[in-house]
Amino acid sequence: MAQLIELLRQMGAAVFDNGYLVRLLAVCTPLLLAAMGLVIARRSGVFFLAAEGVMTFSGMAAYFADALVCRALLAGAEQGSAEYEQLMARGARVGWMVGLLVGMIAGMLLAMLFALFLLRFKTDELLAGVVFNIFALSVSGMCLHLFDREDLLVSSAQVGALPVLSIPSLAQVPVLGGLLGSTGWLTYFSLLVPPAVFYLLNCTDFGLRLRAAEENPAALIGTGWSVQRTQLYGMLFAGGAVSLAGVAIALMPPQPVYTLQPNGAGYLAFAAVWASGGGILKSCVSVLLLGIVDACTDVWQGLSVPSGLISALLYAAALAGLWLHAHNLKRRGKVRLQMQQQIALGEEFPDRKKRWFRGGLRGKRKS
Amino acid sequence: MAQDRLRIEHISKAYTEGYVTITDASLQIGVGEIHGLLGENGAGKSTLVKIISGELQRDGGVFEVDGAAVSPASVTQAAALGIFRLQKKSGLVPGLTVAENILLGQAKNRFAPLAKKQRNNEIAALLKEFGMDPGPEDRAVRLTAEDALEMEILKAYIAGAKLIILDEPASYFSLAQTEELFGLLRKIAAKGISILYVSNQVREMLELCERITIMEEGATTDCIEAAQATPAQLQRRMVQNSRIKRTKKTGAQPGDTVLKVRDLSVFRTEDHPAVQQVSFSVRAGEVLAVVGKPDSGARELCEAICGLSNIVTGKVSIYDDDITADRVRGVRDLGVSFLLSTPEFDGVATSLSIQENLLPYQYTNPDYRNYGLLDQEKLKKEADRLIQEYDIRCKSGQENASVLSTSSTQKLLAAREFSNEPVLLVAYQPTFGTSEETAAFLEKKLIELRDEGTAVLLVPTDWNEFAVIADSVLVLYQGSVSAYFPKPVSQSQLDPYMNGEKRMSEEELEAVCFE
Amino acid sequence: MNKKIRKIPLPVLWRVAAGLMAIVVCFLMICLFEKQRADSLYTFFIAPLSSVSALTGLVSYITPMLFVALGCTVVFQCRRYNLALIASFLLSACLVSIFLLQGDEKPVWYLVPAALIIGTTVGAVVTAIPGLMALRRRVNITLSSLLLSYFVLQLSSFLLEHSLRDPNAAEGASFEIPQRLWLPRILPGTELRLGVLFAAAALGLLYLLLYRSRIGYGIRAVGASESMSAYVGLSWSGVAMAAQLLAGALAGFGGAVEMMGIQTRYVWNGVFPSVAMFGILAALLADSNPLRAVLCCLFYGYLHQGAALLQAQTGFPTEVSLFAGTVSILFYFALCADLIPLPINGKRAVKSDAAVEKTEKKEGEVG
Repeated sequence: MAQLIELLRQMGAAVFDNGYLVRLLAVCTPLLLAAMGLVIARRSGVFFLAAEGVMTFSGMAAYFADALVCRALLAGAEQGSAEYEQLMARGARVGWMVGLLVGMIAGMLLAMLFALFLLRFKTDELLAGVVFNIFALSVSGMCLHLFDREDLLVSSAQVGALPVLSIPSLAQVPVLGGLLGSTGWLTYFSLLVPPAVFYLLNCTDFGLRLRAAEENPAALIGTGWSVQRTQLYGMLFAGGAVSLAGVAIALMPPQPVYTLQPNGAGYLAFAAVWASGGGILKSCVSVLLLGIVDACTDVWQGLSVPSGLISALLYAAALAGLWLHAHNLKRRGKVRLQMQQQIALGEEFPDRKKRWFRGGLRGKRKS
Repeated sequence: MAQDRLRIEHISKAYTEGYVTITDASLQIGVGEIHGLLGENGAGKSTLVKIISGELQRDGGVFEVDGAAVSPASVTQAAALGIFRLQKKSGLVPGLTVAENILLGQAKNRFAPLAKKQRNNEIAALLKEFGMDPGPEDRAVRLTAEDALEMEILKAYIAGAKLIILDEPASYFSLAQTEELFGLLRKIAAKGISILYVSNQVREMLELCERITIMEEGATTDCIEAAQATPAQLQRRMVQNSRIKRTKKTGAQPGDTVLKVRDLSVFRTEDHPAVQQVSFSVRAGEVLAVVGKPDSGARELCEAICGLSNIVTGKVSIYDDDITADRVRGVRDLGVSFLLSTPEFDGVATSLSIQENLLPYQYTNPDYRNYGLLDQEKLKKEADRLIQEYDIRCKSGQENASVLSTSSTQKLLAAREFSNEPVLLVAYQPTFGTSEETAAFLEKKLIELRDEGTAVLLVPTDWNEFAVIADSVLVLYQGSVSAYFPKPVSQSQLDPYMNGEKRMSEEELEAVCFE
Repeated sequence: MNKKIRKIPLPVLWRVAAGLMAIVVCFLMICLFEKQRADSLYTFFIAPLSSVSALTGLVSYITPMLFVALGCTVVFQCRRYNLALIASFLLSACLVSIFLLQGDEKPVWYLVPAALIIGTTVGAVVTAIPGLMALRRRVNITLSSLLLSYFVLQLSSFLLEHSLRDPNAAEGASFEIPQRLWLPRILPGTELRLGVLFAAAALGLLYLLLYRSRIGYGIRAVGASESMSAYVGLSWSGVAMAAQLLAGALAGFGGAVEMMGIQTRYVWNGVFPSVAMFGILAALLADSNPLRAVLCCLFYGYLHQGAALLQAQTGFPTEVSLFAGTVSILFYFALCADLIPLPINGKRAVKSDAAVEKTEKKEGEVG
């Protein structure tokens, strides 16, 4: 019993540590980027289940590009020499740029391929998504082993991470100091994405077209673009955001780590967006909640809590979120029936006008 | 001579899946003219309109817009030419405001911020000009059906429409308040936009249109000035003279009461009733036809009786067995069959074989099982028998159901439902979209069924069918019963009850409630 | 020759083409990355078929794959793309291992059947969870099943750590399951075990069930057309749940069989077992037909065995077989898109079930 209390105390201490907040931001960044990409996809009527695959693929491409570049730079230099240190620093500076570029390109290519299958070939969305995800997993495993075999890569300790924004003066600030000193650029960038997505979807003509593609494709007839074309353009944005999320996972500061273990971040972001019904603010909140749980699983790793169980907790949280957010159909149906009975038997009849639009605003979407 | 906005001549289209043949159609619409296209169901109006709006390709003939020959290959291309078709499936985005909907796609720069204020003012001015009620900031989801249609017309106008086609507006909302809509249409026409109004409601057409083209059996037969025509005249033109001899039937000999409906209410949407406090009965060996305008609730009534939708209040029973709370399974178990197909809900699984589509009830029937497994021999025999009896055109019962034509599909459904020896048959427009031959065949089968003692609740596909099959008539107007005639009557007698002008007294309506 | 090809229905041609594509991909990968090309090609393509032990090894390998594939065919025919079969397979294998290792003293005739029963039940229950979520709250079944799979992946790691871990073995492996608890051999001198007979029996029973029984008709009708099943009065929810329970039971059974002779220990290496992935791909290629699924399983199993042999020889990654598999499925989807209207006997080929137009809605929505 005393052990349990001690354990709980340790867990609590870990959560209230600075390191936790850093970890929280690090974890939320890719989830947020992916969620925003998925919001765009959902609002254009595309079921972007392949987001997981695109993230894996772009992350893999980014990591390998970075590692290859570092390796190439370090080739020929003696380990431990001053030249080696110099080249390592250079690699840290340049590697992530190459990684980012290659990762984005790779991710966008896969996303566009997925869009091709969905929009042109009219493949079933769910099946295409699943197959693309398995594809990405297999490619990443294959490439890792191939590169390892040829010794083309540096160890992960030497791979350049995404840059961190560190302002020495800010680091002195009491509570958030540690936080502000080690947060990456990308995290700050990702905080700008939700407002940008809001702007895109609500304040531009392009965004209105995307929403029309989801809610009523017939409305697009006079606009000059077919539904497929509109959705394709939407997928460009969604694919870009999701690829960036994948790069963020792979090259996360302070140290990129590459494992074969799939982390399902794409599915988590998907769950966050779908549970929120595609709303931007709600999705952000869901992402934050998931991030809190995810950061806990990272921060509690060293303690005597079984690691597998904590990691499993994250996915259970996502499932619980889906369940809680979804509408309780039975109850709704009962309430509606009661209301209708009242109307049918009641004295005054309601407004006679008929609404042309039946069902909830987001009733037809895949929930 | 002023150039015609639209000129099509001698258009033809051979019979393809689900589309009626067009043998020879011609149409001329002038600039700024409101032109009507009148015809019965199945005359080919829909097909012709689909050709004009780019959904289908014509086989032959001339198609000119503003003097230039065109051949739109898709709806998008037709829209680029200025041809817009407004139909049942609305073209508004529910989540956007009226202003956003109307100006969808019109912004010069896709990614520039929308000048909301300016746009709203623009649209407000537009709405004021045409005398419309909704404001530019209203969410589209809150609009009524009429307003939604009017907004769509404005949207087409802003998008640079040259020809706006209104495809059977009567079928999806009440035209009781047509003044507003017609006023808008006239103002739009005054701006030089041509309007093609497609319908089978004579009255509204005469009120609105300048010229009317009549379509019969796949060909446009005449084009007359509205000012010179009378409703009766047009009505007569519309009723098709069937070339195929329709069955003559003997008088009905009604038996026990099979279906009892008392005070039934069914809702179409959250808060609007489609059927209100309807009571009637159907007896064995009798065909009760339910007629009414498209929004009268006949369809919802049929769906509720069959268990496909929720019954809010009231009671439905078959031979004293209460089926109010039952869904389709429970209703079928009591011997009710129904024929209720529409393009969206067709009741046929195209990836299964014909046999599997024909015999769902047999597949779940223990008689057809052999040690727990299905008795393939027996099933095949039964399927072949039905295929023969109903003349379903196919090579064998094992073929995929997707090879069937619409007529054959309808016959398949009929075979499935009729062969069950039902005590009650609910038939909603049973010959919709089928060929003449098939229609006559199905009508014959319906009468046979009636003679064997089945009670039939029929919503007739057209007046021909009504004249041939109906024994007694129930008229619905806006969800409630307005008339009951125990003997078949003519359409002109029923008209006033269908339009809501007359309504029978309570005692007369009680007559239909047999116990 | 032309006439003969015309007589073959299009989907068969597409399948063969997809298979050829997989072989071409493997061929290219080996040629690009292997130094001893001829040797490697031989090992990959010929060796798995070259001896009796290799062939029986192949059949043994695909036994659990076939169970997963059969489970997939059931749910795919019903158009509920519930991929919790992966989770069923994993958890069943894990729990069966625990059960067998901890019941060491009990007699064989008790342990083996009990293990099979446990595996089946666990599998059915796990697959039912997303089914229930879809039924009650209309949560998208594919999403929740994939999240559940990740959950189970982590959970099984936890279970491994706490109950099974063999400290002497390599990381992430359990104790060896005692030989006496393995299913008996059916062909002396080879590794062919009773599991194969079980698989064959399951295949036969499933075929009879799907095509010759009332329940199978219901499953196929519900999957073929929602309108038709509503019309006829088939209860979607009942049929769908039955299908998912059955599929889960099959996958669970497969997991149990795997642990009793095919794998000597329960190994957890962080990724989803490729056997389960291949099972899904095989079901997709076979267009959800159980008999065709066997052939597809054999094909993918053959590729995997080749890759495994090559890995033992030169370290070439085994993921290449999964990669080739996904490429072949994507190729198959693209072909099925009916973009090339080749008339066969005057009619276009009927679209396959796997790549269906978006017009008919499917997935977890029930009711």
